Amino acid sequence: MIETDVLVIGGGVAGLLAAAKAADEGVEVVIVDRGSGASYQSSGVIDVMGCLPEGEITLSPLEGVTQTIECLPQHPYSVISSERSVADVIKEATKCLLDMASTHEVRFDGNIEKNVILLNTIGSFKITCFYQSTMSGGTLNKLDGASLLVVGFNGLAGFNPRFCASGFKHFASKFNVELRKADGVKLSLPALRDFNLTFIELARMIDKDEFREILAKKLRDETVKGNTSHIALPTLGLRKHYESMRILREETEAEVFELVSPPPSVPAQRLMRALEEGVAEKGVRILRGYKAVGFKSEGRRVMSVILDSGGKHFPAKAGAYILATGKFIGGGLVEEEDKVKEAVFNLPLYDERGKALRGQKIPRLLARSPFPQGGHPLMGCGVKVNAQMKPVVEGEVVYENLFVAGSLISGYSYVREKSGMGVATATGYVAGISAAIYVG
Amino acid sequence: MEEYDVIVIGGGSTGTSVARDCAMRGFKTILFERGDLASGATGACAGMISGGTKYVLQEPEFSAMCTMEVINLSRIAGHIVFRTPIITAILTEEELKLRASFAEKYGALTEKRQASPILVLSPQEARSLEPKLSSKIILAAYFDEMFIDPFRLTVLTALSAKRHGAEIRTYTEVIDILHKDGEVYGVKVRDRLNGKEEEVKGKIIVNATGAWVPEISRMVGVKQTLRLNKGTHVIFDRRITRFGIICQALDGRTVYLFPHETGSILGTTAIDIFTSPDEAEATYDEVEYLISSMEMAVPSVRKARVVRVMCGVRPLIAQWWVPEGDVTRNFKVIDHEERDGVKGLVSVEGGKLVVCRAMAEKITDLVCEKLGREAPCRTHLEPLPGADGKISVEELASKYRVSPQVAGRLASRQGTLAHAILSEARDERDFLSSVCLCESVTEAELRYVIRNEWGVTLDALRRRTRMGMGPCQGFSCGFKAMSVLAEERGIKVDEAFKELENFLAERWKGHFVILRGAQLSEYEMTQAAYACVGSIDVKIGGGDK
Ligand SMILES: Cc1cc2nc3c(=O)[nH]c(=O)nc-3n(C[C@H](O)[C@H](O)[C@H](O)COP(=O)(O)OP(=O)(O)OC[C@H]3O[C@@H](n4cnc5c(N)ncnc54)[C@H](O)[C@@H]3O)c2cc1C
Ligand SMILES: Cc1cc2nc3c(=O)[nH]c(=O)nc-3n(C[C@H](O)[C@H](O)[C@H](O)COP(=O)(O)OP(=O)(O)OC[C@H]3O[C@@H](n4cnc5c(N)ncnc54)[C@H](O)[C@@H]3O)c2cc1C
Repeated sequence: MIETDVLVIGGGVAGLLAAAKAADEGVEVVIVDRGSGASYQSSGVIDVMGCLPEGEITLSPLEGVTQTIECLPQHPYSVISSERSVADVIKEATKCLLDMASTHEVRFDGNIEKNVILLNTIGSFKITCFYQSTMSGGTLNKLDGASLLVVGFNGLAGFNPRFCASGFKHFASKFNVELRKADGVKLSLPALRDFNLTFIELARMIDKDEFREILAKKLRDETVKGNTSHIALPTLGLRKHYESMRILREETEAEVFELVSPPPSVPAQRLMRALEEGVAEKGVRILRGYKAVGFKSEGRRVMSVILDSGGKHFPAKAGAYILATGKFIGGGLVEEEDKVKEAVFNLPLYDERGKALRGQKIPRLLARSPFPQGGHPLMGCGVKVNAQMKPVVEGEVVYENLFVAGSLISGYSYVREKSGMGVATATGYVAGISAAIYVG
Repeated sequence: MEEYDVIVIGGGSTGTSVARDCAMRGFKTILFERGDLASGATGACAGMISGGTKYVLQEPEFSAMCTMEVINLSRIAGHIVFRTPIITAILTEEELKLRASFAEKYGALTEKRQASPILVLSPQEARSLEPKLSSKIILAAYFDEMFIDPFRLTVLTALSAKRHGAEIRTYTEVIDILHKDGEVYGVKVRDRLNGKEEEVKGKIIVNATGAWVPEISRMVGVKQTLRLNKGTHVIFDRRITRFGIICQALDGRTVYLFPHETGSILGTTAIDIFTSPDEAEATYDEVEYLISSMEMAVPSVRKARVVRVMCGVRPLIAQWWVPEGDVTRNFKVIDHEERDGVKGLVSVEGGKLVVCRAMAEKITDLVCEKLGREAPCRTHLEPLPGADGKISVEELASKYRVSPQVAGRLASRQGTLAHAILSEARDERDFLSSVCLCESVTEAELRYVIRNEWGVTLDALRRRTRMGMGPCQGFSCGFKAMSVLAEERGIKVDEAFKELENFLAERWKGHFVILRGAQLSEYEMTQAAYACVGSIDVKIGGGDK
């Protein structure tokens, strides 16, 4: 049996932020999580708004937010701005996240006024707002005239440095950035497995002093050979990334940086660990392996949530509950008889434009092409909330002590917008404050 | 301009078999396929190659031919032929009567055919063999069927044709047939990858385009009618049952659930179509029909994870006033000189995958007659590439220090060629990394099929290696394979990403019809990885990309 002021269901970025903020306000918080979700699969950088509604890239996140809100009045960024300026809320919320991360060895660069273009391990690019400082050397605006060496490793699966090098040159030129040179090389280092080596395994190796030394020497040779100014690596390590970056920079006298990657992403692991340590430090208890499977209510109050751990059920009681269970990866939304369903409270669902889903089957919420300009309606579906992040149906609050945060919220598609962590952070922050005020 | 003896149109199981036979009998042969090999009905079929018990009674001669062909295919392509034990689950008294009289007659014939007899099982016996069966079954029957991998069969047949001198041109569409004074003398083709057009001359044109046969005939003004019939399959992520299961469908037809590679395949529907076969699409109703039907015999199929759906069009002979199931599965070779006065044009109607070699033999006999050459058919004797010996998975695994899983999957696709593929990776151990984790496909295998098996697109790599066919449906292998393909073929970056988009779009076709359960999380992953991280959907500046 758990009893607390605020119970947060879901420990992704939204849940962690909500918990941190509520704890800052002086209430007791417990997070329960059944496993992990989209936050662990992200690339560990914070998007605020990367694209305009028509799909075009924007270098100004706030301008992107403004235009998006105009098109989509139900957007969570719009909902949180009913009392205060959306820019202020995003700034405060991301500051809260970045502060927590940086006290636990994951420092970020970037600012809310500007988006940057990063390069990825696929050979293309990613637009984002806040990025880990291990990536700073490689933002596209710094690469004009650079002589770039993309470094891979024999044995490392899923990373082709030669292809990436030509990809970077190609995409950079589309942004009017000319790389003077871009080469790819695969290093053979005896300590590495000769095939099927993963990014995480490589990161752990780079954390080791002896391996890093050998790597530094190899890189120095390559740098001298190629007259290199910038070196892109698939990872700089799991725990000692700053030390590695510093040493490799000193050795090579080149700007060494880390690429972003699709899952499994090392920077995302780092970020999540840092945030978990951050909230724990604020006195929040995180219970893993607990799945919310039901609830009890009286009128418009949630009285308890039923948790499942290893097949055993027991209740958790709190003054307020924050639902931050994510979308399909997280498990907040599930399929039942071909329809989308909110998994814990069976909350009514809405689409991106704020219209109630009336039992449409999932295929009706999908477009015929995989990446259509307007995105799939399915990705904009979720729970509708008011300015305090309370779930609403036809304008009425469903439960007055329930708050919702993160990608479970309807009204936006992070896939199309490139706004995932930004919305998760901002809505988590607001939900945390609202819940704390409610119980306090 | 050089002139070919034979131009084959269509690179399915039929066309490649024709090209092989013609080449083996010494004709200068070229084959044109507008997409990839096996991208038509061949790639959408279940690969069952037994006579099909049903046809034993309805069409004994055809059934005997099928039996012969199973023996032939086992001889020439043993490594891709496998046996699957099957249980027919009977759910109602009426069905029992029907099946009983059938079993009796069938049983009388099995001795003659040397096929394994049908074994009747009590519900308890059946359920102890296959616990996934419903408790509602009233009786069951056990037998087995032979299967073949249709993709590999087609590619290996094409490879064999090439070894005998045939030219195989994939992604090359025949857009016109050159003809003059009632005689064909060549074709006009367009390369679909670079848009180039050219004319190619030949004495005989074999139209082996399956459901598209009428469209080709129309190019010379010949009207030809087929009964085009769509069939859909549902693919699941794992083996739901150990045995293949056959049961009655909601409308009294028969449906099946077969273990298939690492998953299961549920099929099939039969819907006459009257639009172009290009427009055929699997529908939600078909999926529900299949699942609701099989659910009666195997209840857990409802909750199983659907990975994708696919459909194909059967090029049946135009028999009407009977249900699809009663239309003959035999084939007809048409000599258009005789039928329509168009000299040099030959086409084929009907048939099945299992008889592709026999179809080719008959067609090539006609070609011999027309070109005045006597040469015996040897296609049933000479093994296809990779089928020329046995291969030990343990030996393979230990010799090249790969996991038994990787060695086993590779051997099942490539047979004895597995050695050549792995030995190339001797100095480049790196190439042993798995590109596709779901199906254990190594980079070495990808590079090999790009170099040797017309692996020119990601889609083609998928057909040859099963890359991207598992639960993740290309999310984790698509971009990796793209870089390998780009490197091997020297493709430019923007074309490579275009190719990746095409691949994901092709995979998506099997999803937007039905997306359920855990597959939704896979969907979000693919969407986010390619759009949020890969920016595949992003427009730069004035809509440049
Ligand atoms: C591949 C990929 C790459 C991405 N890259 C980026 C990027 O680079 N930048 C960016 O800004 N965004 C990115 N995103 C988007 C971003 O990751 C998400 O929008 C964001 O993480 C959502 O956070 P969340 O906390 O709402 O959900 P989640 O992170 O999914 O968290 C939900 C949590 O709830 C738990 N949970 C669910 N149900 C229950 C239950 N019943 N009981 C208990 N616990 C439960 C889950 O285990 C999970 O941990 C990416 C997403 C993906 C998939
Ligand atoms: C759902 C389903 C299940 C089946 N199950 C089985 C089974 O279990 N066992 C069995 O034996 N049979 C089965 N069949 C039947 C079998 O698949 C077909 O009879 C057989 O594959 C037909 O092969 P094909 O080469 O004649 O036609 P296809 O494979 O369709 O090949 C024709 C080719 O011609 C090409 N083409 C078309 N137009 C042009 C042009 N203008 N230029 C160049 N190329 C062109 C097409 O791209 C295509 O690849 C099944 C069929 C279906 C639909």
